[in-house]
Formats: sequence, structure tokens, C-alpha cells
Amino acid sequence: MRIVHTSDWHAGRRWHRLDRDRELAEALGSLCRYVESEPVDLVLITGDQFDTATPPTRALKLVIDVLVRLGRQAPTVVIAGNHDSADQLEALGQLTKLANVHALGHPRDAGDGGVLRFTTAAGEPVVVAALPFARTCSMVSGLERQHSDLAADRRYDAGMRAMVGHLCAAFQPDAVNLLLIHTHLFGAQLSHSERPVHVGAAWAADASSLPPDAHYVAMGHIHKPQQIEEAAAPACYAGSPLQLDFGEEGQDKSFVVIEASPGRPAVLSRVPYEGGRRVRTWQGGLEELQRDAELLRSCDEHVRIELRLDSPRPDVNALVRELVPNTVLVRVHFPIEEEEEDSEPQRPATMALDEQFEAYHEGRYGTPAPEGLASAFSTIYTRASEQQG
Amino acid sequence: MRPTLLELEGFTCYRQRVVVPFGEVKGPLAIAGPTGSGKSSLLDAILFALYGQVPRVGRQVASLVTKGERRAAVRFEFDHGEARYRVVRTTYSNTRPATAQLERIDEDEVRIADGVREVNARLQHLLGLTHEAFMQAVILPQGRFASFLQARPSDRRSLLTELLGLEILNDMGSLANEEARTARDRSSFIEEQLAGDFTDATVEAVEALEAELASLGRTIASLERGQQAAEQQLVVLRRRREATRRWRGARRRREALQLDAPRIEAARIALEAHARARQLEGPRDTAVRTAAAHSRAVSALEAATTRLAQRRAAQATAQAAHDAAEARALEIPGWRGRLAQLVRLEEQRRARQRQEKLLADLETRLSRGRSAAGELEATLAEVVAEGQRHAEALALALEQLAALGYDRDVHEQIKGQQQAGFELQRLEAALAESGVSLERLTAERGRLAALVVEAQGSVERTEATLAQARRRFAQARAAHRDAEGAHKAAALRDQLHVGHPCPVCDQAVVELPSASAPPELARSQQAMERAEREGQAARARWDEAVEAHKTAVQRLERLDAQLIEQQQQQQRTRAERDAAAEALRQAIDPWIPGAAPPLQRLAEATERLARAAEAHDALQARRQATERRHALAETRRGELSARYQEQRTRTTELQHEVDAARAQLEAMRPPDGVELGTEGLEVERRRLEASIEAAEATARATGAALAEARQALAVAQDRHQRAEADADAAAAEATAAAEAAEAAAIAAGFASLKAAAGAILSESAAAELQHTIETHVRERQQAEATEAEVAPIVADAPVSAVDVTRAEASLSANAAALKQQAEARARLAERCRGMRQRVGRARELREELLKARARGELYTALANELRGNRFPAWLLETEFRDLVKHASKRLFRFSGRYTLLYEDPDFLVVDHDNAMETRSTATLSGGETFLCSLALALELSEQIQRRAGSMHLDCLFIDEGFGTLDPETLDTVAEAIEDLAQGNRLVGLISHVATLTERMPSRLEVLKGQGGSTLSLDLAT
Repeated sequence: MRIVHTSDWHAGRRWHRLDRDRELAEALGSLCRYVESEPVDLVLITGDQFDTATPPTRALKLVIDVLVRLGRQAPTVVIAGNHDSADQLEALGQLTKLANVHALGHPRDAGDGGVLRFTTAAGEPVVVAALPFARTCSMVSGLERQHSDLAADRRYDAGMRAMVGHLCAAFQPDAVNLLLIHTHLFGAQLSHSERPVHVGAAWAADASSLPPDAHYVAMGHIHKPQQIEEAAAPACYAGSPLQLDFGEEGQDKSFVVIEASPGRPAVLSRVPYEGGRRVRTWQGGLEELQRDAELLRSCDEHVRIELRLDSPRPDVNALVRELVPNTVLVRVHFPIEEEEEDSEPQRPATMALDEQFEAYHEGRYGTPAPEGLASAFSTIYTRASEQQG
Repeated sequence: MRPTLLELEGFTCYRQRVVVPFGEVKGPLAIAGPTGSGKSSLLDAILFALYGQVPRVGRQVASLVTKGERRAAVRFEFDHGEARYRVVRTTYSNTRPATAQLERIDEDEVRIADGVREVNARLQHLLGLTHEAFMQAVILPQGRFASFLQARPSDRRSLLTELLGLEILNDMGSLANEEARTARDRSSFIEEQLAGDFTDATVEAVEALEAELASLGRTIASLERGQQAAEQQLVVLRRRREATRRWRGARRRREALQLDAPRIEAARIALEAHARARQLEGPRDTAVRTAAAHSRAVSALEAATTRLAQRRAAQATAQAAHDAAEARALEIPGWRGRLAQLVRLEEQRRARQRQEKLLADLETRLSRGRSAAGELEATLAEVVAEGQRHAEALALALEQLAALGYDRDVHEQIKGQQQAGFELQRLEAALAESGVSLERLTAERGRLAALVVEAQGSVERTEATLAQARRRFAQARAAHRDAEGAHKAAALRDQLHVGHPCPVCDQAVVELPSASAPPELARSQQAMERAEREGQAARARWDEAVEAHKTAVQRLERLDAQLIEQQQQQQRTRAERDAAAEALRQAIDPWIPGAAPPLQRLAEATERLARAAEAHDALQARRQATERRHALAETRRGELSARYQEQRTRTTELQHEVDAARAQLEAMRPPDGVELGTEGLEVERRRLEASIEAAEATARATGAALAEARQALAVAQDRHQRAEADADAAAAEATAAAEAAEAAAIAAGFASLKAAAGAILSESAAAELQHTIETHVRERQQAEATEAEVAPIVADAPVSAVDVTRAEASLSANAAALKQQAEARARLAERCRGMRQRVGRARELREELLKARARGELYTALANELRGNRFPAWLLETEFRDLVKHASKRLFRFSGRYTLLYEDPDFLVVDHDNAMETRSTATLSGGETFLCSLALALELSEQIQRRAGSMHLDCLFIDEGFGTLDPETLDTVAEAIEDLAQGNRLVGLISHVATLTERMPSRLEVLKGQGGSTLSLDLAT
């Protein structure tokens, strides 16, 4: 049978005041066309369909359109990601069920809907274990986190393993067994456009918690399309359909096509999305920019300009945007970078008025405050503090 | 301070108890709910718990109690540093004072503070922030945090000053000024003093005084030396004078004593005799003593004899008394016998009394029984009579019923026909009505017909008038035309000139016609118009008449139709009526025969039967009642009869009992004559008892007295014997002693004992004599000695008293002068000392002056530096720049593209995504302003905590303000808030914006209900 795996659409995302849903519609359109033209038995969508828990209506409409189109062709399974509202997806799922699209918002027991079973037209059985995004706080309490990170990590890991194990116990040897999961796997390559609440080594699940007897593990959350080598079974992040941010520059976006049969290993291939605009970073000085302006204008990409300047020019922003209208942001760099002080010196816990007075005196007169003056200051300060009560 | 639990009851809108387990909240907590449901009240509760006051109401916390509740209670637990605390406050809606407790609740619960004031103080100390600072640092209220961004520079300065607690600098400046002023005052005071009192206090003055003192000292010394010499001389002179006097005195004494010698000799002789006599003392004493003893013994003997006689007499008396008493006592047994008899009599009497009572009792009961029986009999008779009556009444009622002869069946049948009767009646009525209506209609028709005829007449008349009017009009018109023609002709006539052609016929005018006034056109016109109008009027009238006629005819036709209809109706009704009457008649004929019309018969019968039915029912009721009463009477009769029988039997029994009791009483009658009145019996008994007792007592007493008297007698006898013996012995002794004494006296050289006694002198006389003798001897010796002693000293120059006196006078004069000089010296020394002191004091004062001046300068300098435009301004500036710098960093972290700059007096925003373009914050969108304000506010909060030196406040609440944000900014803000909630910090978000609150993992929903608000907690599913 043939299975299609797509993920991380982030519909409704507002990026630098731009609305990219039209591009997304193009990319997803190419996906739908593929599914409509080729014989596909199952479609898997692994989370982050929406960018926020309350997406705008436009985005909702887009996603529903796509789901309907997909569902017409083949049974479709959708799970919620960390960006989605699990409740909303469940609500939507009640209707989409009628359109052959099965949506899960919250993790469920195997018998309660966590495991779905299908039979393809050719009569091959499929077992789909679906695990939507599980919040860390449902497995690890804030207090545990406070006391020991290590213990908290282990709790999270153990929790994940337990849930995966429970669902995958339903796998059958005579069926094609699939797992859908939305999580951060330790060792995956980030694009830095993933929402940091969840991303972080601390909450990564381990590849060893993935079931070895699955034909394919469909993963969502990371935007760079990649296969996880460490996993025992073939496991892929489908990646996002568009280059969502500048961290994804250069990534070729594609969805995964899996050929699988019971008892035989799966064969994976990728089909690129068509449509949507890429992102590009350009660096250089003003003259170079003027030289390349033509090229940039015509490339139909979202451009980030890193401009080197000798000295600040107040009109440079307008100038650049005029030259290259499809600029998304303009960063300027000067030859001598000001001390960014990323690592700020530890600010003192308290500021004593006496010390500040010393600093003041030194600053104004060039000499430290004379003994008498300093002690008089302290005395008066103590008295005033007492007076205040 | 990290909240872990909040519990409220009766607090503002939370009537019922609600609990917020902050400790279980992970990540940011969204507090959502409709407006006014009480979201901000939760924060108020925390403020109240920590500070006992709430911004809305200040310290008037009684108004925080839910309306209608008596008390508000808040329990708030939080972690702070290593420990966990719990503060509980209650406040009351009446004047009862609020309470507060603070405990530490780690392993065990330790009460730390009690009472509002103490708890407030402890908490403020613990948290390190005042109420205002806490609010600003922890609770970022609706709209407030934008104020900092948009405020005027002066407002910003004062806000920052207030928040960072820098007003203290003001106070410090005042204090410094005060210190400086005090120091200056002190300086001038000292200067004054120095100028006033101490100008003369110099070292030189001291020295001068000292010199003077020294010279005076020298003078005094020489004076003293002179004085000493004079004193010594005086001493010598006095000695010599003394000696002179003594020598003279001794010589005189010696001579006097010599003259006194013979007297002295006589005294010596007497003294010697006295001594001899004294030696006889001993024996004489003995004689005297024994004589006295003898006489004492004799008198004792006499006394004992008397006593003996007395005792004998007493004994005799006692014996007599005792014998008498014994004689009396012999009567006692007889009395006792009598007493017993009396007691027996008493008992018998009592028994009789009891019996009498019993008898009386029985008789009473008997009589009662009898009367009861009598009553019952009477009642029984009554009841029987009643029963009789009831039976009669019953018989009567039955008779009457029969007489009535009421047949219910007939009645029912008749009733059945009631309806048919009504129907018939109705039909009759209808018929009558339609008859009436027919008449009316006929009358109406007649009238209408007449009206038609009239109308016709009217039409004809008006037609005639019309024709006339037309004719007149035609006439008038013709006349008018003529007039017009004439007029025209007249007009034309003016144009006619002889010889000229006539305008009408073109022929030449031959002669002018005669002028005649043309008739008034107007008048003819008027006439014509009038005629026309008249014609029109006539036409109108004719039209009207025709119309009227038409109408009348129509009405007549309609009425005719109605009439026909009515007649038909009447016929129908009549038919119905006849049918109904017939039916009814057939129906009731069998039951109510008669010739009268059926309806009448029916009505009569109905009434009659109804009355009969009533009477029948009444009679029936009466019969039933009578029957019941009769039955009741019978029952009663039976009962009463039984009771009556019973009573009679009982009475008979009682009679028997009475007879028996009476017989018994008779048997108890006492024998004649032995009946004593009860009182007489009693008196005698008492008398007897008393007598017995008295006699016994007397016997006992006298027996005792007798024994005593016997004993006393024995003692007296004994004593008497002894006294006799003593007297004898004493006599013997006395005699012996007297003889011995006499002998001794003779041996001593006296003539007799008496003579010896005479030679004794008193002690004092003897002593005196002795003394005189000795004195004389001594004095003589003394005088001789003295004389010998002083003779050499006096020798040649006796000194007289006058010489001495003169010497003394000169000495004392000298001494006075010396004293004067000494006093002067003392005064001078005093002055000198005083001066030295003052000099010392002056030196001190000058030193002090220097110090005061220095202090004044120091504090003036300090006050100077504390002036608003110096240190405070610098401080504010520094703090502010610090604030902006860090807020800018924070903003960049939030937004990823903006940083903040400050260029007096505005804030500027640098957009890194737009080539570092700077914009005024005024140009920011609502969302961007929000982010800037939030960054500033968070930074402010941070600074406040740092300045207070408090432990980190692990909680932050943001109260509203999200309503104006666009989705993208909302996203940024949500991420920023999630970022804030890292670690263990509790971040609370109060908002009604669903997109924001739904994103938060933990949600607290405030639900507003009828009975107050409640909470629904949804923690990170």
C-alpha cells in the first residue's frame, strides 16, 4: 500500500506582518493533486496544522478544504501538535470523521481511539497508533521540575515510553503497523523556527523509545525534513511545506511517500511540494545591493537584507525597501560592533544608597567622598529610614 | 515570595468558600471570566492578606465583606526563601476588630505573629517592600504600565522617585539642613558666650591674682609669728598668778583646820562605840527572830481550832438533810404505780376514738350511697320518659309521611319533561316576538309608502320650478344679449362719423342715431347670472328630489322583502310551536291528566311535586333523627338501670358494716366513774413524773454533800494537831535565843543589850562621821603641801589678776587683726580659683566652637549634595538609564526586533528589522506600545525588588490590557509571558481575551452566579 505523510503546516501564521496562507494553499494544493492523481491508501498528518490555538477563519477554511480533499481520496489520520488547540481539533474531528478524516486532539488509550484500524482496497490491514502532543506538565509537575531537572527528565522520558509502548502493543504481525507522534526527538536538527517552549534538550524523547516493529514512524514538530537514523524503525520528520523562517533557508520541502506491505520493510521516498515562496538572505554593502537589486526583485522570494554600513543612515530602510520591495527585514551592521553585552554582568542583588553616593561623588568631583561626608551620609540615611518607620 | 494557596470566604463577590491552589499551577495561569465577576478581587485578596489593606478601599477593610455576610476570611500560604508561611486574616462587617495570624508551616506550625499590627510589621519586614512598592512590582494593573512610557518627564521622574523609594533623599536633605542649622546655632551661641562672659578670663589675670595672694600670705605669716610670742608670754603670766592665789588660799585653810581639831576627836570616840555595838548584831537578831516565830505559831494554832469547829457543824447539817431526802424517797414506788395506771387509761380512750371515727366514716359513705341511688332512680325515670316521647314522635312522623303520599317516580318523569317545557315556552315567546316585529314592519311600510308618494310629488314640483327657471334664464340671456348689442351699438356709435363708412355695414353714415343711454350691461349681466344661478339651484333641487324619490322607493322595496321574510319566519315558528306543544301534551298526559294546556299543567305539577319532595325529605330526616334519639335513649336506659342496681346492692352492704361498727363501739365503753378529762389526766401524769424525779435528785444530792462534809472534817482535824506541835517548838527556841543575846552584850562592855542597841548609829551617820574625820585630815595635809609647793614660785613677785587681764586684752586684739587678714586671703584665693576655672572653660568653649563650625560645614556640604538637582538628580538619572537599558534588552527578547532608546524627553524605539530605524513611541501600534510598556514595567518591578533588597518575588500578575492587541502581538506577548514563567515563578494573567487565555496551560475561570462568584480550575491537562 501507499501512504503519504505530511506535517507542520502552521496555517494562520503571521510572519513579519505577512500572511503566508496563500503560499501554503499552493503547496498543499500540490499535495492534494498528488493524492488525487496517484493511488494512495492512507494519509498521515502529524500535528501543528495551525500556528496558534485560535487560528483565524481563513486558516481554518484552508485546512478544512485540504482535509476534505484528502479524505475524499483516502482515510486520513490527523494528530494535534504543540501549537494546536487539542480541544479544537477534537471538535473539528467530530465532523471530519464523516469525511473520512480521523482527528485526535488528546492522547488516548488504545481502546479509546488511540489506535485506528483500516483495511485498504487491496485488503491489507493497517494498524495506526496515534499519539498527539503530550504536554510536559501532564507528566512532570512544576515541583518536580524545581527540585531536580534530572529526575524530571527521566519522568518525561519514562512517560513517553510508556504511552508509546501501550499504543504500539496493538501492532499485529499481519498488518502494516504505523506510529504517529508529535515530539522533539533527541538528535534531530532544528531550524530554530520551532516554538521554544517545547524544544530543548531537556524535554527530548529518546529514539530508543520508538517501537522497533513499526513499518514507519511518522513524526511531526521539526520543520527540516529529515530521517532519524538512530531509530530502529524507519522514522521521519516530514518537515513543513514552506520555508517558514530564515533558519530554514535552503531546505527543500517535501512530503514522504511510503510503500509498505505486511511482513516487508517499508520503502521511503520524498515528493517535493510545489508552490510557495522561498526565503533568502543577502549580505553586503549598499553599492553591492544596488547592483543586485534587480536580481533580488525578480527572484520572488522573501528576502532578508544584512547590510554593512560605515555609519548610520536614517533613510537606509526606505532606500532598501524601495530597491527590493520583497524585503522582509533589514538588519544593519557597523564595523565596530557595540558591546552587545549578551552576558550581562551579574547585577548586584541590592543597590545601597551609600555606595551610590560614593559613585556620584567620584563622578562629579573626581575624588572619593571624604570620610566625614560619607559617614554623615550614612548617619542621616539611617535616621531618615528610621523616621519612615 | 511564591504563592502556594489562596482561600477566600465571604470576601467581596466570593460569598462561598473558594480555593486557588497556586502551588499546583505549572506555567502561566490565565484568570478568565466575564467583567465584574471578581478576577481582580483575587489579587485584592492577596494584597489584603499581606498588607491588611486594598487599594480600592484603603484601610476600611470592613467594606470587603460580602454584602449580607458577617465576616470575610482570607487564608494565604506562600513560600519565601526556605520557609513556607501562612497568613490568615478575618474582618467583620460590624465594628468587631479584624484579626490576623502569621505562622510558619514547614515541618510543624509555629505561630510567629498575632494581631493585625504585629502581623503587618512582620510581613513588611519579611517581604521588604511597602504596600505601594509591592503593588507596583508584583501587580501590573490595567493600563497603568503604559503610563510610564507615555508620561511627561516630570511625572516620570516623580513616579520613579516614588517607586524606588527615593523620597528618602528629601528627608535626608531636610535632616542634613537641620543638623547644619543646629551646628551653626551652637557656634553662634558659643561665640556670644565667649564674647560676653569670658573676655576677662585670661592667663595674665590669673597670674596677677596669684601674686597678690602670695604677698598677702607673707603678711599673715609675720602676724602669726608675733601672735605666738604674745601667747607664750601670757601663759607664763597666768601661771604665776595662779600660784600666788594658791599659796594665799592654802595658808588660810591650814589655819582654819587647826581650830577645828577637838570636834573631830569627839566624833572619833562615838564612831568607835558604834563599831563595838555592831558586833552584837548577830545574837540580837537571832533572839528577835525566834520570838517572832513563836508568836506566829500560836496564832496559827488558834486558826486551826476555829476551822475544826466549823467543819463539825457542817457535817451535822449535811447528815440531817440526807436523812430527810431518804425519807421522801420511800414514796416513789407508789407514785410509779399510779403513773402506769394513767397510761393504760389513755390508751383505752384512744382506741375508742378510733372506733368512733370509723363509724362516722361508714355512716357518711352509707348516706352518700343512698343519695346516689336516689339520683340514679330519678335519672332512670327521666330516660324512660324520654324514650317514650321519642317513640311517639317516631310514630307521628311515619304517619305524616304516609299522608304525604309523594311518589318519586312521577316527579322524575315530570322533571324529564322540563326541558321540553322550556323549549315550548321559548317557541311561544319567539312567536309572540315575531308577531310584534311583523306589526312594526307593516307600520314602517305604510310610512315608507307615504314617503314615496311625497317624494314623487316633490319631484314633480321641482321639475316645474326648474322649467320655470330655465325659461327665465333664457329670457335674461336674451335681455343681456340685447343689452350687449345695444352697448356695442352705443360704442360703435361713437365711431360713427357722418360720411364715414359704418364699421358694421360699410355704408356711409348719413345721420347719427339718437343717443340713448345703453342699458347697464352690468345689470343685465347680473340678471342673467342670477337667472343662471337660480336655474342651477332649481336643477340641483330637482336632482335632489329625484334622488330622494329613488331612495324612498328602494327603501320601500327592501322593507317589503323584509316583511315577506318575517312573515315566512313567523309561519315556521308557529309550526314548530304547535309541534312542540303537541309532543309535550302527549308526554305528560299519562302523568298529569287534565284539560288545561300542557305547559300550564306541567308548571303546576312541577311546583307541586317540588314542594312535596321538600316536605318528604324533611320528614324523612326528622324520622331518622327521632329513631336515632330513641335508640340512644334506650341504650342509656339500660346502662342506668344496671348502675342503679349496683348502687342499691352496695348500699345494703354498707348498712351491715355500719351496724357492726356501732356494736363494737358499744362494747368499748369505759366503766363508769373512771372517766377523766384528758387534761386532768395529763396534768396528773406530769405532776407525778416531776415529783418522782425531784425526790430522786434530792436524795442523790444530799448523799453527795454528806460525803464531802465528812471528808472536810477529817482534814481540819489533822491540821489542828500539827499546829499545836509547831507552837510548842517555837516557844522553846525563842527563850534560848534571848538569853544568849543578853550575855553577849555584857561581854562587849555594855551595861545591857539595850544599851548596846543605843550605841548603834545609823549607817549614814556613821559614814558621815567617818567622812568628816577623813576630810579634815586630808585637807590639812593638802593645805600644808600646797603652801610648801608654791612658795618658791611666788617668792618675790606675786602677780595680780589685773596684770593678767591686761595681757589677755592685747592678745585678743592681735588675734582679731590676724583673722581679718586671713579672711581677706581666703577671698582672694577663691577669686583666683574661679578665674582659673573660667580660663579653662573658655578654652573648652573655643575648642567646641571649632568642632561645631566644622560640623556645620560638613552638613551644609551634605545638604548641598542632597539638593534636588545634585545627588537625587544624578541618582534618578542613573536609575533611569539603567532601567531603559535593561528594559531595552528585555524588549528585544520579547519582540526579536525592537530596542529602546531614551532621548530627552522621549522614548524612542529602534527597529532592527528595518535597518535600525528609530521611531517615537507615539508612532507605535497598540500592540507594540504594549510590549514596550510591559518591558519597562517588568524592569521597574525588577528594580524595585533590587532596591528593597528583598528576596526575589517569584510572582507577577498582569491585570488586563490585552484587549487591544492584534493576533501577532498577542502571540508575542503570550510567548513572552510563557518565558517569564520559567523556573518556579508564578505568572498570573487576568484577561477576557479568549485567544490568550486559551493558550495558557493553566486556567482559572471565574464564574459569576446568583449567590456570588465561584471558581473553576483547569490545570494543565
